[in-house]
Amino acid sequence: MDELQCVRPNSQDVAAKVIDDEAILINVATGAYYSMDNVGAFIWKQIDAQCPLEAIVAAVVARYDVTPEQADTDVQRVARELFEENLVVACDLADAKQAEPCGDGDAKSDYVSPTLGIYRDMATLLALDPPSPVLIDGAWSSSDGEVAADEQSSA
Amino acid sequence: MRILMWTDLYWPHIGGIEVLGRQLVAELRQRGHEVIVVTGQAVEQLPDVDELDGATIHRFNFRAAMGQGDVESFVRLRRGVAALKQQFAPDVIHLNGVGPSVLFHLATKDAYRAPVLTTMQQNIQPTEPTGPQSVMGRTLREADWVSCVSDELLEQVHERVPEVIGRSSTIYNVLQLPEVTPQPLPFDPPVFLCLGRICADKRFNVAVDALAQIAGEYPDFRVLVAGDGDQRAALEAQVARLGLSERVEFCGWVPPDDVPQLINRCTALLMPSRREGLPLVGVQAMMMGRPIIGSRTTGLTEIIVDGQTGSIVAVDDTDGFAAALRATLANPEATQRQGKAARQRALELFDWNRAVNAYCDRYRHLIEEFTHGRVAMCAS
Repeated sequence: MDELQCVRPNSQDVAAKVIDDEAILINVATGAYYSMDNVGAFIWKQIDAQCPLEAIVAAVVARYDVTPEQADTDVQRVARELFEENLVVACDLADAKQAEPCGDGDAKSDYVSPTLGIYRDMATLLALDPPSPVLIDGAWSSSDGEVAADEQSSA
Repeated sequence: MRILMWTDLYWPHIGGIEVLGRQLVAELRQRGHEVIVVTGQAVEQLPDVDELDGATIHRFNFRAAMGQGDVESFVRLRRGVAALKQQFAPDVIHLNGVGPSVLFHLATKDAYRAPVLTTMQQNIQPTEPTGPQSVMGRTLREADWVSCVSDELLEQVHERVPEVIGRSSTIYNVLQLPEVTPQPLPFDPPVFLCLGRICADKRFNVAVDALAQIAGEYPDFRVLVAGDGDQRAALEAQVARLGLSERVEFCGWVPPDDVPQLINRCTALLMPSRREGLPLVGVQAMMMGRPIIGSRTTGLTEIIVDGQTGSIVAVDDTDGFAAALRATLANPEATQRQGKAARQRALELFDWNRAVNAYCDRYRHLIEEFTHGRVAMCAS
Protein backbone atom coordinates (compact mmCIF):
# COMPACT_ATOMS: atom_id res chain seq x y z
CA MET A 1 0.00 0.00 0.00
CA ASP A 2 1.42 3.37 -1.02
CA GLU A 3 2.39 5.69 1.78
CA LEU A 4 0.28 8.82 1.87
CA GLN A 5 2.19 12.08 1.58
CA CYS A 6 -0.53 14.67 1.81
CA VAL A 7 -4.24 14.52 2.64
CA ARG A 8 -6.92 17.15 3.00
CA PRO A 9 -10.45 16.97 4.48
CA ASN A 10 -13.11 15.48 2.24
CA SER A 11 -15.10 18.68 2.53
CA GLN A 12 -17.84 17.38 0.25
CA ASP A 13 -18.96 14.69 2.72
CA VAL A 14 -17.44 15.66 6.04
CA ALA A 15 -18.36 18.27 8.63
CA ALA A 16 -15.67 18.78 11.25
CA LYS A 17 -14.82 20.98 14.18
CA VAL A 18 -11.99 21.03 16.71
CA ILE A 19 -13.07 22.06 20.15
CA ASP A 20 -11.52 21.64 23.59
CA ASP A 21 -8.65 19.60 22.10
CA GLU A 22 -11.04 17.20 20.45
CA ALA A 23 -11.79 16.84 16.76
CA ILE A 24 -15.40 15.90 15.97
CA LEU A 25 -16.07 14.69 12.47
CA ILE A 26 -19.36 13.70 10.90
CA ASN A 27 -19.52 11.89 7.60
CA VAL A 28 -22.82 13.27 6.38
CA ALA A 29 -22.91 10.72 3.56
CA THR A 30 -22.90 7.72 5.90
CA GLY A 31 -24.11 9.28 9.18
CA ALA A 32 -21.03 7.95 10.97
CA TYR A 33 -19.49 10.02 13.78
CA TYR A 34 -15.80 10.23 14.64
CA SER A 35 -13.72 11.82 17.33
CA MET A 36 -10.02 12.23 18.08
CA ASP A 37 -8.58 13.58 21.34
CA ASN A 38 -5.50 15.72 21.94
CA VAL A 39 -2.76 14.57 19.55
CA GLY A 40 -5.38 13.38 17.07
CA ALA A 41 -7.11 16.75 17.19
CA PHE A 42 -3.76 18.47 16.65
CA ILE A 43 -3.09 16.26 13.62
CA TRP A 44 -6.55 17.04 12.24
CA LYS A 45 -5.87 20.78 12.54
CA GLN A 46 -2.71 20.33 10.48
CA ILE A 47 -4.55 18.22 7.92
CA ASP A 48 -7.25 20.88 7.74
CA ALA A 49 -4.49 23.40 7.01
CA GLN A 50 -3.39 21.06 4.16
CA CYS A 51 0.08 20.46 5.55
CA PRO A 52 2.03 17.51 4.09
CA LEU A 53 2.31 14.57 6.46
CA GLU A 54 6.06 15.00 6.78
CA ALA A 55 5.50 18.52 8.09
CA ILE A 56 2.77 17.27 10.43
CA VAL A 57 5.21 14.74 11.89
CA ALA A 58 7.70 17.55 12.49
CA ALA A 59 4.99 19.66 14.14
CA VAL A 60 3.98 16.76 16.39
CA VAL A 61 7.60 16.14 17.41
CA ALA A 62 8.03 19.84 18.14
CA ARG A 63 4.96 19.99 20.33
CA TYR A 64 4.88 16.63 22.08
CA ASP A 65 7.30 14.48 23.98
CA VAL A 66 7.64 11.81 21.30
CA THR A 67 10.33 10.36 19.06
CA PRO A 68 10.24 11.19 15.33
CA GLU A 69 9.83 7.50 14.54
CA GLN A 70 6.81 7.10 16.80
CA ALA A 71 5.26 10.33 15.51
CA ASP A 72 5.81 9.23 11.90
CA THR A 73 4.21 5.85 12.55
CA ASP A 74 1.19 7.43 14.27
CA VAL A 75 0.65 10.21 11.74
CA GLN A 76 0.80 7.73 8.88
CA ARG A 77 -1.61 5.38 10.66
CA VAL A 78 -4.10 8.13 11.47
CA ALA A 79 -3.92 9.50 7.93
CA ARG A 80 -4.52 6.01 6.54
CA GLU A 81 -7.51 5.44 8.86
CA LEU A 82 -9.00 8.81 7.92
CA PHE A 83 -8.43 8.02 4.25
CA GLU A 84 -10.08 4.59 4.55
CA GLU A 85 -13.06 6.18 6.28
CA ASN A 86 -13.32 8.64 3.39
CA LEU A 87 -12.84 11.53 5.79
CA VAL A 88 -9.82 12.81 3.84
CA VAL A 89 -8.69 12.60 0.26
CA ALA A 90 -5.13 12.40 -1.03
CA CYS A 91 -3.79 15.67 -2.34
CA ASP A 92 -0.88 16.82 -4.41
CA LEU A 93 2.26 17.72 -2.50
CA ALA A 94 2.60 20.76 -4.75
CA ASP A 95 -0.65 22.12 -3.29
CA ALA A 96 0.37 21.48 0.30
CA LYS A 97 1.18 24.24 2.75
CA GLN A 98 3.72 24.33 5.52
CA ALA A 99 2.74 23.31 9.02
CA GLU A 100 2.42 26.18 11.41
CA PRO A 101 5.51 26.35 13.59
CA CYS A 102 4.77 25.37 17.15
CA GLY A 103 6.37 24.26 20.34
CA ASP A 104 9.81 25.82 19.91
CA GLY A 105 11.15 26.70 23.31
CA ASP A 106 7.99 25.58 25.15
CA ALA A 107 7.85 22.58 27.45
CA LYS A 108 6.59 19.65 25.43
CA SER A 109 3.23 18.13 26.16
CA ASP A 110 2.74 14.50 27.16
CA TYR A 111 2.19 12.25 24.20
CA VAL A 112 -0.52 9.62 23.86
CA SER A 113 -0.83 7.82 20.54
CA PRO A 114 -3.91 9.17 18.78
CA THR A 115 -6.93 6.99 18.19
CA LEU A 116 -9.86 7.54 15.91
CA GLY A 117 -13.11 6.92 17.82
CA ILE A 118 -15.78 5.66 15.44
CA TYR A 119 -19.56 5.34 15.81
CA ARG A 120 -20.89 3.64 12.72
CA ASP A 121 -24.42 2.83 13.84
CA MET A 122 -25.98 6.27 14.19
CA ALA A 123 -28.03 5.93 11.01
CA THR A 124 -29.15 2.44 12.10
CA LEU A 125 -30.20 3.62 15.55
CA LEU A 126 -32.09 6.60 14.13
CA ALA A 127 -33.89 4.35 11.64
CA LEU A 128 -34.72 1.60 14.15
CA ASP A 129 -36.02 3.99 16.73
CA PRO A 130 -38.30 6.60 15.15
CA PRO A 131 -39.86 9.06 17.62
CA SER A 132 -43.03 7.91 19.36
CA PRO A 133 -46.07 10.22 19.17
CA VAL A 134 -46.63 12.99 21.64
CA LEU A 135 -49.79 14.10 23.43
CA ILE A 136 -50.07 17.88 23.86
CA ASP A 137 -53.23 19.35 25.35
CA GLY A 138 -55.42 16.59 24.03
CA ALA A 139 -54.00 16.63 20.50
CA TRP A 140 -51.53 14.20 19.05
CA SER A 141 -48.44 15.54 17.37
CA SER A 142 -46.35 13.71 14.84
CA SER A 143 -42.57 13.61 15.08
CA ASP A 144 -42.17 16.43 12.57
CA GLY A 145 -43.81 18.78 14.99
CA GLU A 146 -47.13 19.12 13.20
CA VAL A 147 -49.99 19.01 15.68
CA ALA A 148 -52.92 17.04 14.37
CA ALA A 149 -56.52 17.30 15.42
CA ASP A 150 -57.45 15.09 18.30
CA GLU A 151 -57.80 11.79 16.53
CA GLN A 152 -57.90 9.38 19.41
CA SER A 153 -61.10 7.50 19.77
CA SER A 154 -63.18 7.41 22.86
CA ALA A 155 -62.10 3.78 23.18
CA MET B 1 -29.64 9.23 45.75
CA ARG B 2 -29.22 11.68 42.93
CA ILE B 3 -30.25 9.87 39.78
CA LEU B 4 -29.82 11.12 36.22
CA MET B 5 -32.34 9.22 34.11
CA TRP B 6 -31.40 9.26 30.42
CA THR B 7 -34.04 8.24 27.92
CA ASP B 8 -34.34 8.92 24.21
CA LEU B 9 -37.84 10.33 24.60
CA TYR B 10 -40.05 11.01 27.59
CA TRP B 11 -43.58 12.04 28.40
CA PRO B 12 -45.67 13.44 26.65
CA HIS B 13 -44.26 10.92 24.16
CA ILE B 14 -46.25 7.78 24.88
CA GLY B 15 -44.45 4.60 23.77
CA GLY B 16 -44.07 1.75 26.25
CA ILE B 17 -40.59 2.87 27.34
CA GLU B 18 -41.80 6.44 27.79
CA VAL B 19 -44.75 5.38 29.95
CA LEU B 20 -42.56 3.06 32.01
CA GLY B 21 -39.91 5.78 32.35
CA ARG B 22 -42.43 8.24 33.72
CA GLN B 23 -43.82 5.74 36.23
CA LEU B 24 -40.30 4.82 37.35
CA VAL B 25 -39.21 8.44 37.80
CA ALA B 26 -42.38 9.29 39.74
CA GLU B 27 -41.83 6.26 41.99
CA LEU B 28 -38.18 7.16 42.60
CA ARG B 29 -39.24 10.69 43.55
CA GLN B 30 -41.87 9.28 45.92
CA ARG B 31 -39.16 7.20 47.56
CA GLY B 32 -37.22 10.38 48.26
CA HIS B 33 -34.60 10.30 45.53
CA GLU B 34 -33.62 13.33 43.54
CA VAL B 35 -34.12 12.69 39.83
CA ILE B 36 -33.57 14.65 36.64
CA VAL B 37 -34.43 13.38 33.19
CA VAL B 38 -32.25 14.01 30.14
CA THR B 39 -34.18 13.33 26.98
CA GLY B 40 -34.64 14.22 23.34
CA GLN B 41 -36.69 17.01 21.86
CA ALA B 42 -38.58 15.56 18.92
CA VAL B 43 -41.28 18.21 18.58
CA GLU B 44 -40.69 21.91 18.87
CA GLN B 45 -43.67 22.64 21.11
CA LEU B 46 -42.09 21.05 24.15
CA PRO B 47 -40.11 23.30 26.49
CA ASP B 48 -36.37 22.71 26.91
CA VAL B 49 -36.81 22.53 30.68
CA ASP B 50 -39.95 21.20 32.30
CA GLU B 51 -41.22 19.89 35.63
CA LEU B 52 -43.18 16.65 35.89
CA ASP B 53 -43.93 14.46 38.91
CA GLY B 54 -41.38 16.39 40.97
CA ALA B 55 -38.53 15.80 38.52
CA THR B 56 -36.93 18.31 36.16
CA ILE B 57 -36.98 17.28 32.51
CA HIS B 58 -34.17 18.59 30.30
CA ARG B 59 -34.90 18.24 26.60
CA PHE B 60 -32.17 18.50 23.96
CA ASN B 61 -32.68 18.46 20.22
CA PHE B 62 -30.39 15.46 19.72
CA ARG B 63 -32.17 14.03 16.70
CA ALA B 64 -31.98 17.20 14.63
CA ALA B 65 -28.23 17.50 15.22
CA MET B 66 -27.65 13.84 14.38
CA GLY B 67 -30.09 13.59 11.52
CA GLN B 68 -28.64 16.61 9.77
CA GLY B 69 -25.00 15.87 10.59
CA ASP B 70 -24.80 19.36 12.10
CA VAL B 71 -21.43 19.47 13.86
CA GLU B 72 -22.03 22.96 15.31
CA SER B 73 -25.26 21.81 16.98
CA PHE B 74 -23.52 18.63 18.09
CA VAL B 75 -20.85 20.64 19.89
CA ARG B 76 -23.42 23.00 21.44
CA LEU B 77 -25.55 20.12 22.70
CA ARG B 78 -22.56 18.28 24.02
CA ARG B 79 -21.51 21.32 26.03
CA GLY B 80 -25.05 21.65 27.39
CA VAL B 81 -25.15 18.03 28.49
CA ALA B 82 -21.69 18.22 30.03
CA ALA B 83 -22.65 21.35 31.99
CA LEU B 84 -25.85 19.71 33.21
CA LYS B 85 -24.00 16.62 34.41
CA GLN B 86 -21.49 18.77 36.29
CA GLN B 87 -24.22 20.94 37.77
CA PHE B 88 -26.48 18.07 38.94
CA ALA B 89 -23.55 15.83 39.95
CA PRO B 90 -25.54 12.57 39.89
CA ASP B 91 -24.62 9.64 42.11
CA VAL B 92 -25.66 7.33 39.31
CA ILE B 93 -26.61 7.63 35.63
CA HIS B 94 -29.35 5.31 34.35
CA LEU B 95 -29.52 4.93 30.57
CA ASN B 96 -33.05 3.61 30.09
CA GLY B 97 -32.67 2.15 26.61
CA VAL B 98 -29.92 2.50 24.04
CA GLY B 99 -31.11 4.94 21.41
CA PRO B 100 -29.28 7.42 19.23
CA SER B 101 -29.17 10.11 21.93
CA VAL B 102 -26.82 7.96 24.01
CA LEU B 103 -24.00 9.17 21.77
CA PHE B 104 -24.17 12.43 23.74
CA HIS B 105 -23.77 10.56 27.00
CA LEU B 106 -20.71 8.80 25.64
CA ALA B 107 -19.33 12.07 24.33
CA THR B 108 -19.64 13.68 27.79
CA LYS B 109 -18.58 10.80 30.00
CA ASP B 110 -15.35 12.56 30.94
CA ALA B 111 -17.17 15.75 31.92
CA TYR B 112 -18.53 14.12 35.05
CA ARG B 113 -17.79 10.61 36.27
CA ALA B 114 -20.58 8.57 37.81
CA PRO B 115 -21.45 4.86 37.69
CA VAL B 116 -23.68 3.94 34.78
CA LEU B 117 -26.56 1.45 34.67
CA THR B 118 -27.66 0.70 31.12
CA THR B 119 -31.04 -0.93 30.52
CA MET B 120 -31.44 -2.83 27.26
CA GLN B 121 -35.04 -2.43 26.17
CA GLN B 122 -35.11 -4.04 22.73
CA ASN B 123 -33.53 -6.99 21.07
CA ILE B 124 -30.53 -6.46 18.84
CA GLN B 125 -31.12 -6.94 15.13
CA PRO B 126 -28.76 -9.43 13.44
CA THR B 127 -27.44 -6.66 11.19
CA GLU B 128 -27.12 -4.15 14.02
CA PRO B 129 -23.47 -3.39 14.85
CA THR B 130 -22.37 -4.17 18.42
CA GLY B 131 -18.60 -3.85 18.03
CA PRO B 132 -16.47 -1.24 19.77
CA GLN B 133 -17.06 1.09 16.82
CA SER B 134 -20.77 1.45 17.50
CA VAL B 135 -22.84 3.41 20.00
CA MET B 136 -24.57 0.17 21.02
CA GLY B 137 -21.30 -1.69 21.52
CA ARG B 138 -19.57 1.08 23.41
CA THR B 139 -22.58 1.81 25.59
CA LEU B 140 -22.76 -1.82 26.68
CA ARG B 141 -19.02 -2.23 27.15
CA GLU B 142 -18.63 0.99 29.13
CA ALA B 143 -21.63 0.42 31.39
CA ASP B 144 -20.87 -0.49 34.98
CA TRP B 145 -23.95 -2.72 34.91
CA VAL B 146 -26.30 -3.83 32.12
CA SER B 147 -29.87 -4.75 32.96
CA CYS B 148 -31.99 -6.43 30.32
CA VAL B 149 -35.77 -6.41 30.36
CA SER B 150 -36.05 -10.15 29.70
CA ASP B 151 -33.91 -13.27 30.17
CA GLU B 152 -33.87 -13.88 26.43
CA LEU B 153 -32.56 -10.41 25.82
CA LEU B 154 -29.89 -10.98 28.45
CA GLU B 155 -28.78 -14.14 26.63
CA GLN B 156 -28.69 -12.24 23.36
CA VAL B 157 -26.59 -9.45 24.85
CA HIS B 158 -24.17 -12.03 26.33
CA GLU B 159 -23.86 -13.64 22.91
CA ARG B 160 -23.24 -10.37 21.08
CA VAL B 161 -21.16 -8.59 23.74
CA PRO B 162 -19.60 -11.26 26.00
CA GLU B 163 -17.62 -8.60 27.88
CA VAL B 164 -20.75 -7.77 29.93
CA ILE B 165 -21.13 -11.30 31.32
CA GLY B 166 -20.57 -10.93 35.05
CA ARG B 167 -21.95 -7.41 35.22
CA SER B 168 -25.43 -7.86 33.85
CA SER B 169 -28.81 -9.19 34.94
CA THR B 170 -32.50 -9.24 34.12
CA ILE B 171 -34.92 -6.69 35.54
CA TYR B 172 -38.30 -7.24 33.94
CA ASN B 173 -40.15 -4.38 32.32
CA VAL B 174 -43.12 -3.76 34.56
CA LEU B 175 -45.93 -1.24 34.75
CA GLN B 176 -48.00 -0.43 37.80
CA LEU B 177 -51.05 -2.66 38.11
CA PRO B 178 -53.99 -0.78 36.54
CA GLU B 179 -56.68 0.30 38.97
CA VAL B 180 -59.32 -0.75 36.46
CA THR B 181 -60.93 -4.11 37.29
CA PRO B 182 -60.58 -6.74 34.56
CA GLN B 183 -63.88 -7.60 32.91
CA PRO B 184 -64.88 -11.04 31.54
CA LEU B 185 -63.67 -11.65 28.01
CA PRO B 186 -66.35 -10.62 25.47
CA PHE B 187 -67.57 -13.24 23.01
CA ASP B 188 -70.71 -11.55 21.73
CA PRO B 189 -69.02 -10.50 19.59
CA PRO B 190 -65.40 -11.45 20.22
CA VAL B 191 -62.97 -8.55 19.82
CA PHE B 192 -59.30 -8.79 18.89
CA LEU B 193 -56.95 -5.95 19.74
CA CYS B 194 -53.78 -4.78 17.97
CA LEU B 195 -52.16 -2.07 20.09
CA GLY B 196 -49.00 -0.09 19.43
CA ARG B 197 -47.04 1.69 16.78
CA ILE B 198 -48.21 0.58 13.34
CA CYS B 199 -44.76 -0.05 11.89
CA ALA B 200 -43.12 -2.87 9.96
CA ASP B 201 -41.71 -4.55 13.09
CA LYS B 202 -45.16 -5.01 14.64
CA ARG B 203 -46.33 -7.06 11.62
CA PHE B 204 -50.01 -6.23 12.15
CA ASN B 205 -50.43 -7.10 8.45
CA VAL B 206 -49.85 -10.76 9.38
CA ALA B 207 -52.69 -10.58 11.91
CA VAL B 208 -54.98 -9.03 9.30
CA ASP B 209 -54.16 -11.75 6.75
CA ALA B 210 -54.89 -14.39 9.39
CA LEU B 211 -58.16 -12.71 10.37
CA ALA B 212 -59.18 -12.69 6.71
CA GLN B 213 -58.57 -16.46 6.61
CA ILE B 214 -61.10 -17.10 9.38
CA ALA B 215 -63.60 -14.39 8.46
CA GLY B 216 -65.88 -16.83 6.64
CA GLU B 217 -65.99 -19.26 9.55
CA TYR B 218 -66.56 -16.60 12.21
CA PRO B 219 -68.74 -13.84 10.78
CA ASP B 220 -69.14 -11.77 13.93
CA PHE B 221 -65.67 -11.01 15.35
CA ARG B 222 -64.45 -7.42 15.54
CA VAL B 223 -60.96 -5.95 15.55
CA LEU B 224 -59.62 -2.81 17.20
CA VAL B 225 -56.36 -1.35 15.91
CA ALA B 226 -55.13 1.26 18.38
CA GLY B 227 -52.06 3.23 17.44
CA ASP B 228 -50.56 4.91 14.44
CA GLY B 229 -47.42 4.80 12.40
CA ASP B 230 -45.88 4.76 8.98
CA GLN B 231 -47.64 1.50 8.02
CA ARG B 232 -51.16 2.62 8.95
CA ALA B 233 -52.21 3.61 5.42
CA ALA B 234 -50.94 0.30 4.05
CA LEU B 235 -52.75 -1.60 6.81
CA GLU B 236 -56.00 0.27 6.15
CA ALA B 237 -55.66 -0.52 2.44
CA GLN B 238 -55.04 -4.19 3.24
CA VAL B 239 -58.13 -4.29 5.48
CA ALA B 240 -60.25 -2.78 2.70
CA ARG B 241 -58.79 -5.10 0.06
CA LEU B 242 -59.61 -8.16 2.18
CA GLY B 243 -63.19 -6.98 2.79
CA LEU B 244 -62.71 -6.46 6.52
CA SER B 245 -63.51 -2.74 6.71
CA GLU B 246 -66.82 -3.34 8.49
CA ARG B 247 -65.09 -5.36 11.20
CA VAL B 248 -61.88 -3.41 11.80
CA GLU B 249 -61.88 -0.11 13.65
CA PHE B 250 -58.77 2.08 13.54
CA CYS B 251 -58.79 4.04 16.80
CA GLY B 252 -55.58 6.03 16.44
CA TRP B 253 -53.50 6.59 19.55
CA VAL B 254 -55.16 6.01 22.87
CA PRO B 255 -53.92 7.89 25.96
CA PRO B 256 -52.03 5.58 28.35
CA ASP B 257 -54.61 6.12 31.09
CA ASP B 258 -57.33 4.79 28.78
CA VAL B 259 -55.45 1.66 27.71
CA PRO B 260 -56.74 -0.61 30.53
CA GLN B 261 -60.36 0.17 29.58
CA LEU B 262 -59.51 -0.46 25.94
CA ILE B 263 -58.01 -3.83 26.83
CA ASN B 264 -61.15 -4.62 28.83
CA ARG B 265 -63.10 -4.41 25.57
CA CYS B 266 -61.07 -7.16 23.92
CA THR B 267 -61.08 -10.95 23.96
CA ALA B 268 -57.41 -11.38 23.11
CA LEU B 269 -54.37 -9.28 22.22
CA LEU B 270 -52.63 -9.94 18.89
CA MET B 271 -48.86 -9.42 18.78
CA PRO B 272 -47.34 -10.83 15.58
CA SER B 273 -44.16 -8.73 16.12
CA ARG B 274 -40.78 -9.63 14.73
CA ARG B 275 -38.90 -7.42 17.22
CA GLU B 276 -39.61 -6.78 20.90
CA GLY B 277 -37.73 -6.48 24.18
CA LEU B 278 -40.37 -7.26 26.75
CA PRO B 279 -43.52 -5.63 25.43
CA LEU B 280 -45.33 -3.58 28.03
CA VAL B 281 -48.52 -3.82 25.99
CA GLY B 282 -48.36 -7.57 26.55
CA VAL B 283 -47.65 -7.15 30.25
CA GLN B 284 -50.62 -4.82 30.59
CA ALA B 285 -52.91 -7.20 28.66
CA MET B 286 -51.91 -10.02 31.00
CA MET B 287 -52.57 -7.80 34.02
CA MET B 288 -56.04 -7.22 32.57
CA GLY B 289 -56.56 -10.98 32.19
CA ARG B 290 -56.27 -11.20 28.43
CA PRO B 291 -54.62 -14.07 26.54
CA ILE B 292 -52.07 -13.10 23.91
CA ILE B 293 -51.55 -14.59 20.48
CA GLY B 294 -47.95 -13.64 19.81
CA SER B 295 -44.98 -14.49 17.66
CA ARG B 296 -41.91 -16.45 18.64
CA THR B 297 -39.68 -13.46 19.30
CA THR B 298 -37.68 -12.09 22.20
CA GLY B 299 -39.84 -11.22 25.18
CA LEU B 300 -43.08 -12.68 23.89
CA THR B 301 -41.89 -16.25 24.31
CA GLU B 302 -41.01 -15.35 27.88
CA ILE B 303 -44.32 -13.84 28.89
CA ILE B 304 -46.68 -16.19 27.01
CA VAL B 305 -47.00 -19.79 28.14
CA ASP B 306 -48.09 -21.47 24.93
CA GLY B 307 -51.50 -23.07 25.38
CA GLN B 308 -51.90 -21.76 28.93
CA THR B 309 -51.85 -17.96 28.74
CA GLY B 310 -52.14 -17.63 24.97
CA SER B 311 -50.50 -18.97 21.85
CA ILE B 312 -47.05 -18.62 20.31
CA VAL B 313 -46.73 -18.74 16.54
CA ALA B 314 -43.66 -18.49 14.31
CA VAL B 315 -42.88 -14.99 13.02
CA ASP B 316 -44.82 -14.28 9.80
CA ASP B 317 -46.68 -17.63 9.99
CA THR B 318 -50.08 -16.47 8.78
CA ASP B 319 -51.58 -19.97 8.77
CA GLY B 320 -50.33 -20.59 12.29
CA PHE B 321 -51.78 -17.29 13.43
CA ALA B 322 -55.12 -18.15 11.84
CA ALA B 323 -55.10 -21.50 13.64
CA ALA B 324 -54.48 -19.76 16.97
CA LEU B 325 -57.35 -17.34 16.26
CA ARG B 326 -59.66 -20.28 15.49
CA ALA B 327 -58.69 -21.98 18.74
CA THR B 328 -59.40 -18.79 20.67
CA LEU B 329 -62.87 -18.46 19.17
CA ALA B 330 -63.77 -22.15 19.11
CA ASN B 331 -63.52 -22.68 22.84
CA PRO B 332 -64.53 -19.60 24.86
CA GLU B 333 -64.20 -21.43 28.17
CA ALA B 334 -60.60 -22.39 27.44
CA THR B 335 -59.88 -18.83 26.33
CA GLN B 336 -61.38 -17.48 29.58
CA ARG B 337 -59.10 -19.86 31.50
CA GLN B 338 -56.12 -18.60 29.53
CA GLY B 339 -57.03 -15.03 30.43
CA LYS B 340 -57.21 -15.86 34.13
CA ALA B 341 -53.91 -17.72 33.93
CA ALA B 342 -52.36 -14.74 32.13
CA ARG B 343 -53.39 -12.41 34.94
CA GLN B 344 -52.08 -14.79 37.57
CA ARG B 345 -48.76 -15.04 35.72
CA ALA B 346 -48.57 -11.24 35.44
CA LEU B 347 -49.16 -10.83 39.16
CA GLU B 348 -46.38 -13.33 39.90
CA LEU B 349 -43.80 -12.14 37.38
CA PHE B 350 -44.38 -8.45 36.94
CA ASP B 351 -44.46 -6.98 40.41
CA TRP B 352 -43.92 -3.23 40.32
CA ASN B 353 -42.29 -2.87 43.74
CA ARG B 354 -39.94 -5.78 43.07
CA ALA B 355 -38.77 -4.18 39.82
CA VAL B 356 -38.24 -0.74 41.36
CA ASN B 357 -36.45 -2.31 44.34
CA ALA B 358 -34.17 -4.13 41.91
CA TYR B 359 -33.23 -0.86 40.25
CA CYS B 360 -32.68 0.88 43.58
CA ASP B 361 -30.52 -1.99 44.89
CA ARG B 362 -28.46 -1.89 41.72
CA TYR B 363 -28.01 1.89 41.99
CA ARG B 364 -26.78 1.47 45.58
CA HIS B 365 -24.33 -1.29 44.69
CA LEU B 366 -22.92 0.72 41.82
CA ILE B 367 -22.53 3.84 43.94
CA GLU B 368 -20.82 1.85 46.71
CA GLU B 369 -18.41 0.20 44.29
CA PHE B 370 -17.70 3.50 42.59
CA THR B 371 -17.07 5.29 45.87
CA HIS B 372 -14.81 2.52 47.18
CA GLY B 373 -12.92 2.47 43.91
CA ARG B 374 -12.34 6.19 44.08
CA VAL B 375 -11.30 6.05 47.72
CA ALA B 376 -8.92 3.19 46.94
CA MET B 377 -7.45 5.15 44.03
CA CYS B 378 -6.94 8.21 46.25
CA ALA B 379 -5.30 6.11 48.98
CA SER B 380 -2.88 4.33 46.66
